[in-house]
Amino acid sequence: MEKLTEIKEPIVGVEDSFWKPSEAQGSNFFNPFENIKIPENSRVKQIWAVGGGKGGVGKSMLASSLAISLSKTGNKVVAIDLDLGAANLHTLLGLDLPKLSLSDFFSSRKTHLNECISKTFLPNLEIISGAQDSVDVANLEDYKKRRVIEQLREIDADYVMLDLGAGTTYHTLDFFVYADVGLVTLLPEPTSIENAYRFIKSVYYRRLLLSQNLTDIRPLIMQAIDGNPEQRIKTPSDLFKEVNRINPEAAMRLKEEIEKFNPRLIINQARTQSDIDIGFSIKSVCKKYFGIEMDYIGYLDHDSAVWQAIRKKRPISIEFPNSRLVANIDRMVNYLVKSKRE
Amino acid sequence: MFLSDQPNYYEILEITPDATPTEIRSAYLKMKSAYSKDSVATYSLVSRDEMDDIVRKIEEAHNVLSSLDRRKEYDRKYQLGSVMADTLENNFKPTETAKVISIDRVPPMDTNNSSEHMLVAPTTDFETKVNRSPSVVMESTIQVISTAPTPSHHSEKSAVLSYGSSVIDAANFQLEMDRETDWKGSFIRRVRELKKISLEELADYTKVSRTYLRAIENDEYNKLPAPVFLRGFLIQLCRKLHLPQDRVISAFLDRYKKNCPDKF
Repeated sequence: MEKLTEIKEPIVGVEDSFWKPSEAQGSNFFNPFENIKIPENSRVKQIWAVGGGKGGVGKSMLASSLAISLSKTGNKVVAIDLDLGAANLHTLLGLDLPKLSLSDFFSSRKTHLNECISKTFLPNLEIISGAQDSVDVANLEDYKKRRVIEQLREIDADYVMLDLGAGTTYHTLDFFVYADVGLVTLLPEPTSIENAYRFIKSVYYRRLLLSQNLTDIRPLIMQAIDGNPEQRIKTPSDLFKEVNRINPEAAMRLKEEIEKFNPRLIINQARTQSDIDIGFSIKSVCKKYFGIEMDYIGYLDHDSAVWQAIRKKRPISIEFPNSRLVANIDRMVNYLVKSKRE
Repeated sequence: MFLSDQPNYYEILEITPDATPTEIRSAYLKMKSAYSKDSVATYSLVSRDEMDDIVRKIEEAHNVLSSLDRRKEYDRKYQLGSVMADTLENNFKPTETAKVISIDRVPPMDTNNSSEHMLVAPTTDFETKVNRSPSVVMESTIQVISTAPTPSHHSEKSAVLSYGSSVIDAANFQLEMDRETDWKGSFIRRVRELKKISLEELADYTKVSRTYLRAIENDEYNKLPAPVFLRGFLIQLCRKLHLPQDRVISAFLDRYKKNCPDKF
């Protein structure tokens, strides 16, 4: 029981995990990205992360499908299941629980992520399975998370695909922040949209808070995160105006940081045209509320092929290669790969 | 959009300044649906007050951009505002200098100091610079115009009529402007009236009181302020009316000095 009191981070799945102001202002403020170096001979072109806040919105399905589609373009892909407490990416890829997993890495039986890679039935796709054996693995210590982040770009692959868990714990946020392409998936329904906004907001503030360019305005960012209705700063807009009032130069830096954040949006299980249009509305709302340029890269139809494939424990891309859904995924992958090159 | 104090109407509708009327219409409908009361896209994020505020801005933007005249006027205003910077302009509504920039083509963070990225809607006929070789007919028309008597207190309509605006096409008028050297108040008034800008609108844009504007147009030098202020007024005036600032100011101030040497 003593161990529980040591856990500083919330348990995976707990939605509300914004920092309390005191936590970040102390000298023990943990920055998982501090002095992270990108290895010179890194093979990794890009890290993609799939998140979305709510559970059951298709994060793992999407991560596996994107990974398969990406591997078919001739790129070597390693998919990592970072939904630590509830890993099942391997199942979606049609594999039984691999012998090697992140557990080996966290328990130091293996020293490098590359040693935890398992093969799949596709030549260009490999997987690092989520940890399974240790029950409290979801409560990852900071230094372990940092080790993962450090090694992500040392993985022997062209693309690394991260499947993140639900909720807005620091782990999930930090992996999303570190990724080059952050994909947010949601369903066209209020519960999912609510959690997705919560997730975007959490990532947004986490990015600002961890940015080395904005250390001087951290107290103001903390105020915005706190969201106390009695305080002056409640929204991103308030934050920007206040920073601009105090220090226009810092406001320029803030603006720069904000504009670097370009999450990609995917609407899943769209049934009608108005479901599809919600994506455009969300893009506009994010632009006006957060000041971010969100890229609405596509939608997936509500398709019973998905559950049929999952029941068979077969990836949708393999089971129904000619479905419209798979065609849409291929299109999104092509778009993302192409937009990187430009 | 919250990253600039005064987003322009194109930014509000999230379109480029060269958007066609159809594009404006569809962007407007898209925005309206995104911020309608039963939209799920704003759920849990945007408060009722913020929604109302955004909807008001969307309506305002659409109201201006959907009318060809109002849009032209708006474009002209912004185009002018970005042409030059002057120390005096701090006295006159600095927000007007916001550049009109295509939000889709240019990353918002790159907009500083990059005047070459400025994208604005096509200018109106008045501003179109064309290499013209004046025909005999045009020459004679100009002769008639420039010898016409200077009006003193015409109503807008009669002033325009007396110069036969139906005869003077934009090209002729441009030529006339190129030849103008005196830049008397009466001439400035003619430009204003031909561009169908009321004194009120001009006062609104330049932040110069109507009394002074009238004094400028009537060449009533004794009613004008100290030269340093007058210069600022003229800068604003030239911006709004698309006049060659340097020529107007030097000519006007010269005459002012002759008439009121005590103010210098």
